[in-house]
Amino acid sequence: MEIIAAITTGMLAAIGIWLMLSGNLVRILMGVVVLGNAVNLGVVASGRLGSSQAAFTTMEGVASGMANPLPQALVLTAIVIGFALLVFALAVALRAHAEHDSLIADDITREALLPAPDLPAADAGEIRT
Amino acid sequence: MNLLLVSPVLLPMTTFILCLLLRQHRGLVALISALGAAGLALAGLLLVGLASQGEVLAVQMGGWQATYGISIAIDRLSAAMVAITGIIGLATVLYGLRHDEAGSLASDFHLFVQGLLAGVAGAFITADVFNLYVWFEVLLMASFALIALGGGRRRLAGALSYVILNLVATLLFLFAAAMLYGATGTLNMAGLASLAATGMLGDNAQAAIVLMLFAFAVKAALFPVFGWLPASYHVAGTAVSALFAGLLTKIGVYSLIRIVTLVWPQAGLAHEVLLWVACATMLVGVLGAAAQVEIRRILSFHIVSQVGYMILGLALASPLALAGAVFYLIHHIVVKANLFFVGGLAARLVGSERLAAMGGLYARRPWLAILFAIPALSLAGIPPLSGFWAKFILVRASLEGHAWIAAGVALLTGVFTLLSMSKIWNEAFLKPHPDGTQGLRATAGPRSAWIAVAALAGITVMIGLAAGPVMDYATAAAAQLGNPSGYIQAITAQGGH
Amino acid sequence: MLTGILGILAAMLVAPLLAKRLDQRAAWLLALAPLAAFLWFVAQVPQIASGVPLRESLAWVPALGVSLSFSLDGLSLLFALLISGIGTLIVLYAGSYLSDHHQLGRFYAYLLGFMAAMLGVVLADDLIGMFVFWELTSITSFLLISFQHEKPESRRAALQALLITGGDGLALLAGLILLGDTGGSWSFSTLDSQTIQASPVFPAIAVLILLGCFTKSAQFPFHIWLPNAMNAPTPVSAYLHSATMVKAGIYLLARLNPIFGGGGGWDGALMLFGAGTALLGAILAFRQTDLKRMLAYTTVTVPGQLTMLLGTNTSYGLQAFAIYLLAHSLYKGALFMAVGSIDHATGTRETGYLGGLIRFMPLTGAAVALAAFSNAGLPPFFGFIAKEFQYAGLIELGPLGWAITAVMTITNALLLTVAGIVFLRTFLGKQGRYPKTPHEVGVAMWLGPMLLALAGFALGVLSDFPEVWLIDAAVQAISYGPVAVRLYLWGGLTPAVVTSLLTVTLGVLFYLNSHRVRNALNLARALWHIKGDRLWDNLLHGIFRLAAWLATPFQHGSLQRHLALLVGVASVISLAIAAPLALHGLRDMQTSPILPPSLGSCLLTLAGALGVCFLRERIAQIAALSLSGLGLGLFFLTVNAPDVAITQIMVETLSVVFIALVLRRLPRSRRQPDTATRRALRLGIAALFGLAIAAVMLASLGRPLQGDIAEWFTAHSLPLGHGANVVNVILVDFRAFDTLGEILVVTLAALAAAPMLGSGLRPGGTAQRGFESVLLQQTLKPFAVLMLLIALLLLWRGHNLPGGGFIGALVAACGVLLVALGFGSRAAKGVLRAEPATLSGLGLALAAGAGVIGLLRGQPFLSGSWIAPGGVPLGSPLLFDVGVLLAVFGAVMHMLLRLLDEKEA
Repeated sequence: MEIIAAITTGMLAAIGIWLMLSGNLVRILMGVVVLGNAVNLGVVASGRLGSSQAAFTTMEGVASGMANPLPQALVLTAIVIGFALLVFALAVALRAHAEHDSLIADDITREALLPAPDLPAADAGEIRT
Repeated sequence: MNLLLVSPVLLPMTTFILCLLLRQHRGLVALISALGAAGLALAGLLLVGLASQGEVLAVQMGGWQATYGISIAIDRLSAAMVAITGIIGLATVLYGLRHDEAGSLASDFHLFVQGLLAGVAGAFITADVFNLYVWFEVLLMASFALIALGGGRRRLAGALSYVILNLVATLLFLFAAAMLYGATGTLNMAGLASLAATGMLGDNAQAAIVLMLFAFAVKAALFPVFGWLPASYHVAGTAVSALFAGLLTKIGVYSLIRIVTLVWPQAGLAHEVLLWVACATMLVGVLGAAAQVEIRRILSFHIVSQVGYMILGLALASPLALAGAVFYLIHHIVVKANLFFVGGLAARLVGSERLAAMGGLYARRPWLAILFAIPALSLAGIPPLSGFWAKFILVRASLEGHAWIAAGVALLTGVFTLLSMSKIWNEAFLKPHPDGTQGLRATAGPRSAWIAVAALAGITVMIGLAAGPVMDYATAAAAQLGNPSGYIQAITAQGGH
Repeated sequence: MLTGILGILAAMLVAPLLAKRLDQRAAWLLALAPLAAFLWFVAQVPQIASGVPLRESLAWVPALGVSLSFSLDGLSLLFALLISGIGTLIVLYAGSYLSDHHQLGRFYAYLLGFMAAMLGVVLADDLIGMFVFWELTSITSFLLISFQHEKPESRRAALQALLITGGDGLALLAGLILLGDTGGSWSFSTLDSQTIQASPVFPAIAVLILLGCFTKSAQFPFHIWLPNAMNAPTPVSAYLHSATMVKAGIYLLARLNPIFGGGGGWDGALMLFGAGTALLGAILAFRQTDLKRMLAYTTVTVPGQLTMLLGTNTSYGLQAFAIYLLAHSLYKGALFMAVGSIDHATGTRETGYLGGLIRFMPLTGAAVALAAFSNAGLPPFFGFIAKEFQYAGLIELGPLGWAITAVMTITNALLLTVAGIVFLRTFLGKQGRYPKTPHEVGVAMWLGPMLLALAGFALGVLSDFPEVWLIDAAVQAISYGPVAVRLYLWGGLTPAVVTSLLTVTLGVLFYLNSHRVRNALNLARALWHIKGDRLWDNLLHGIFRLAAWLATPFQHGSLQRHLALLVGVASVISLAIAAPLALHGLRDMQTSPILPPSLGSCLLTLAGALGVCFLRERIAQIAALSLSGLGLGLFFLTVNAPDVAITQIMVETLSVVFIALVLRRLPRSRRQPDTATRRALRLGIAALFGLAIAAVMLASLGRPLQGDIAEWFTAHSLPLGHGANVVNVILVDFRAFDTLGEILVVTLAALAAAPMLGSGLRPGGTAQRGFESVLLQQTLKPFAVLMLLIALLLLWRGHNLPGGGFIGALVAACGVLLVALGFGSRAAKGVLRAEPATLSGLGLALAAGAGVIGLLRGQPFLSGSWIAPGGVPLGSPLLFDVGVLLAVFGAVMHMLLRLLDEKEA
C-alpha cells in the first residue's frame, strides 16, 4: 500500500505544482490546497500503512497491528496549520486583487521591482512600519 | 532553571497574549512589547552565561523520556542566537515604538513582532525536527503578517512573492521531516545524531535529509534559490525589513549548521557541494547588489552575499571555520539590522530611498553619518570592527584548508562589498542633495529609534574591540558543534517517565 | 607606545569640539599631542641607536594569535619620528590653511586619526595588528581625500583610492595569513626566513604582499590613484601623499626585506618595478604645469626609487634607502606645504602664471629654495648624500646595476629639472599674473616648510649626527646581514660622483630646453596618460555591467519563474539522491497489502485534483477540490486514522466555505493562452517534481520502520497520559509543545488575515443578512445548538475516544457558521459574546497556563498534573485541550465574521 501511497502523493504533488505554475491567482491557491493534500498524505504514509485497528488502547494492554499514532498527530497539526495558511493566502490574494485589479500573479509581483516611491511630505516626523 | 530554558519561547508568547488581550490600549501594548523584548534579551544573556560554563543545557517538554517527547537543547550557539534575537527584537520594538497609523495597525505591529520572536527563539532552542517545523511556521506566519502590514500596491506585490515561495519551501520541509521519520524512526535531533555517529543512519535517510536541507537553503537564500529575497524584503516597512534582514535568513543558516553538524559529522561530498554553493552565493549576491540603485535593494542583495560567508564556514568544517561561521552569524545579525534601520532613517530624512534622490547627509547630519559608517565599514570588513574579524577567520580557515578559490572569492566579495558601501556613502551622504538644502526634513523619527540604532552600532564596535572573548566563545561553540556527543548526552541524560 | 597612539586618538575625538570653540587656534592645542609623541620618540633614540629594540604587547584575540604588540627598532623609529614630527607641523599648517572651513573640526579629527593609524602601522609587531592599522589608514585617507565632498572629482578620487588600496589590502591580508601560517609566528620579529623561503607557497606570499605594498605606495601599474588624490586639500597631500601613507608600502617592504630578501624574484621584482615606476613618474611630472600635480608625480617617482634601492640589497643601496627616505620626507613635505601657501596667497598654482614671488613671500621662498636644492640632490644637502649613495649602491651590482644607473640618471635629472622649475620659475624671474595680491602667509604656514627644509640642510652638513643616531639602526633593521654605515659628503672621485655630475648636467640641460623636451615627450605620451585613468573608469563600468548582467536573470519579477526555479532545483537534487534508492525500495520494500478502500479513496483524491485542472466553471472547480479533500479524508479513515479523517473533513468543509466566500469577490478570469513551449515546460517541471516526491517517499520508506516510538506512545498513553486516544494524548501531552506552537500559528493567521478579508463592520454599514426563509431559520436554530453541544462533547471525550480540542473547535465553528448564514453575522456575534480575537487570546493563555502549572511544581514546562476527584482523572492536558479549542475556534470565527461582514462590492 505504501507504493500506492507514494505514487498518489507524487501525482498529487505534480498536479499541485502544475496548478501553481499557471500564473492565475485562483489556480495558484487551489494548487496550494492540492499540494498540501499531497504532503499530508505522505506524512501519514510515513508511519507505514498496514494497520488493522486505530490507535486506541484499553486497560488490557496494547493490541497488535495498531496504527502508528505519531504521524497521525503530526498530520493533524499540519492540516490545521495548512488551513490557517490557506485562509491567509486567500486574504492576500483578495487584497492584491483589490489593489492591482488583476488576477495574473506575474503582473502583480512585477510591481515590487519598480523604483521606490518618494515619501510624501506629510509623512515628516512619522515612522510608518 | 526549567523556566529559564523555556523562557525564550514562553516570554514572547506571554507578551503576545497580553498584547492580544489588551489590544485596544495602544500605549500599553507598546510598553508591554518593549518589556517583553527586553526580557527576552535578558533571558538570552543569562543563557549565554550558563552555556559558557561548558554543558549543553537540555530539558524535556512535559518531562517525558528523552527522544520520545520533545527536547529542548541550548548549547553555546543556540544561547548566543537567542540573546541576539532578544536584542534585535528590542531594537525593532524601540524603532517602531510610536505609531501614528490609523486604528489597530499599531498594536498589530507589536503583536506580530512578538509572534515572530517566539517562532525564532523556538527554532533556535528546539531539538526536535517536527517541532522545528512548527516554530518555522510560527515565524513564517508572523512574517507574512508583517510584510503585508500597512498594505499598498507595491507592498502586496512583494508580499505575494514572499508568501507563495516560502509556503512551498515550508511544505517541502514538512514532507522531508516526515520522510526522515519514516526512514529513521526518530524525530529527535539527538536520536538522529547518535544514529549518524554509529553509522546506522542509513542511505534511505539521505534523500529526506537532502530535501530538508534544500528547504533550509531556500529559507537562507542560498544560490540558486535566493530570488525571493530581493523580490520582497524591500517593500515592507523599515522596522519590518530590518527585523527580517537580521533574523529570518539566519534561521535557515542555523538550521543548516545544526542538522549538517549532527547528521554528517565527517566532511564529505555534501561539504564540497556546499563550498561551491557558498562561493556562488557570495559572488552573485554582491554583484547583484552592485547593480541596484536603492538602499534597501542593495542591502537585500548583500544579505544573500553574506549568507554565503556563513555557509562557507560550514562547508570548510574545520574547527576554525565553524568558529568563523558562528562569529559571522553573531556579527552579521547586528550589522544587517542596523544598516536597515539607518537606511530607513536616512530615507526618511531625504524623502526617498533612491540613491539618486538622496544626498547632503554627511554635512547636515553628522551623527547619522557616523551611525551609518560603523555598520557599513563592519560589513565591508574594515578593522577593528566585528566584520573584519569574521571575514579574517573565514579567510584564514580557507587558506589553512587549502581552499584557495574559496579564499579568493571571499576576498573578492569583500572588495565588492566595500565598493557597494562606499557607493551608498558617496551618493547618500557626501553628494549634495539634488534639491539643494531644502531637501531635508526636520526629523527622522522618535528618540527611541535613534537609541536603538546607536545601541546596535555600539555593539558592533564592542564586538570588534573585544574580539578576544567573543572569539573564545565562538571557538568553544564550534567545538561543541564539531563533537555532537555532548549534545546527544545532554539530551538523553534527561530522565522522565 | 600604545598610550601614545591612544593619546593621539583622544585628541582626535576632542578635535571637533575644540575646533568649534577655538576655530583655527585649536590647531596649536591639538598639535601638542603629536608633539608629545615626537618628543617621546626622540627620547628613545639613544636606546634604539645602540641596537636594543623596545617592545610592548597586549593580547587582543588570543584564540587567533592576534595581539596588539609593538616594536620600536631603527626602522620604526625613523618612520615614527617622521610621522609625529611632520604631523605636528601639518596640524598647525592645516589650521591656517583651512581657517575658514566650517568642517575644520572634522578635518583635524581625520588627520589625527590618520596619524594614529600610521603610527600603528610602523610600530606594530603583530602581522594582523599591523593590518588593522593599515586598513585604518586607507579609511582615514578616504575621509581626507573626500573632504571637499561637494566636488564630484573629490568623491571619485577618494573612491578610487579606497578601492585600489583597500581592495589590494585584502590581497595583503591573504599574504599575511599565509606568511603567518608558514612562518610559524605571527610576529614580525620572530618570523623564520629559512622556512618561509623554502615553502612552496612562498611565491604566492611574495606576490600577494607585493600587490598590497605596490598599491599603497602607488607603484606602477597602481599609480593612477595618487595624482587624483591631489583633489584633497594641500595639508593632506603634504602629509599623506608625500611623507606618510605612500611610504607605508615601502615600510612594509623594508620590514619584510630581511625575511624575503635574496629569495626568488623578490630582489629582481623590487628593482624592476621600482625603477620603472621611478622613470615613469619623473617623465609624467615633467609634463605637468600645475605645481601640485608636478609634486604629485614626483611622489610616484621617489617610492619607486626607494623600492629599487631596497631590491639592490647592497650596503650602499640600503644606506641610500634610509637616507633617501628621510631626505625625501623632509623636502617633499616642505615643498607641498609651500605650494599650498603659494596657492593660498596668490590663488593659483599654474607655472604659467607664477613668477617673481620672492619679493612677496621671502620666508616661503627661502624654504622652497632649501628644499629644492635637497630635492635636486645638490651638495651639501642631505638629498645629495642620498643620491650619491644611490649611485654607489647601484654600481655595486655590476652590469645590471649600470643599466639601472642609466635609468636613474635620467630620472634624477628630471627631478632636478622639476625642482628647478618649482623654485626658479616661481620665485625668481619676472612677476607673474596673480588673481590675488600675494602676501606672506602666517607663522603656522611658513614654519613647517622652513623647519623641514632647514633640517634637510642641517642633516646634510652634520652628517655624523644622522649616521649615528638614525640611519645606522634603520639600516640594520632592514638588511639580512650586518651593514657598515658611514655617511659622508665627499668620498673622493668615485664613479658615483661622476654620475652625479652627469645628472646635474643633464638636469640643467633639460631645464634650459624644457619646451623642446616637453614637445618631444608629448608625442609619445599622448596615448599614455589617457589609458591610466580611463582604464579605471572602464573597469568600474565593466564591473557594473557584469553585475547587472548577473543580477537580471534573478530580477524578472515573475512569480512563475521563481517558483519554477525553486521546484526545478528541488526536483533535480532529490531525484539525484533518491532515484537509485527508490528503485531498490520498489524491489525490496516490505509493503503492506493493497486494500481496495484505500486504493479507491486514493483514486478519488486524484480524480478531484484532476478535475480542478480541467474543469472550466469555477463552481465545478471548487466542487472538485472538495471531492479531492474528501477523498483524502476517506483515505485516512481506511488506514485507521479516525481523528485525522474527521479533522480533514471538517477542515475541508470550512476551506470550501472560505474559498467560496472569497471567490465570489473575485471576477472570472480569462484563461491565459499559454504558448506550447511554456505549457511543455510547466508539464515537465510538474512531472519532474511529482517523480521526485514519489522517489523520495519510496526511498525513505524502503526499510521497515525503525525505532519504537509508536510502541512507546501506545504503551504509555493510558497509564501515564490517562487517555486511551493515543493520538490525542500525543497532541496534548506527549508533544504538547508542538500543539502550542500550532495554535499560535492559527491565531497569528487569523489576526493577519482578518484585516485583509474585511475591514470590520462600519458603524453605518449593514451586516451580512441571513436567509430570509423562516422555515430555514427554524431548522437551523436547533441544528446549530446541537452542533455546539456536540463540540463540547467531542472535547470532553476526546481524550479516550475520537474527538479532542481541534475537532471540537471546527465543529463549533461550523455551528456558528450556520447561525451566521441563517440569521446574519450580528446574531453570530451575539452567540459568541466576545470578540473572537479575545477568545483566541484566552485560549492561548489557557494552554500556556496549563503548561505553567508544571513549572510551578518544579517540573519542566507542560508537565502533566493530575487530580482525580471522584475517580475522574482531571489534569492539565485537559485544560490544555480546552485552550486549544478556544484558540482555534476564536481564530476561525475571527476570519469568518470579517469575511461575512464585508460589504458587497
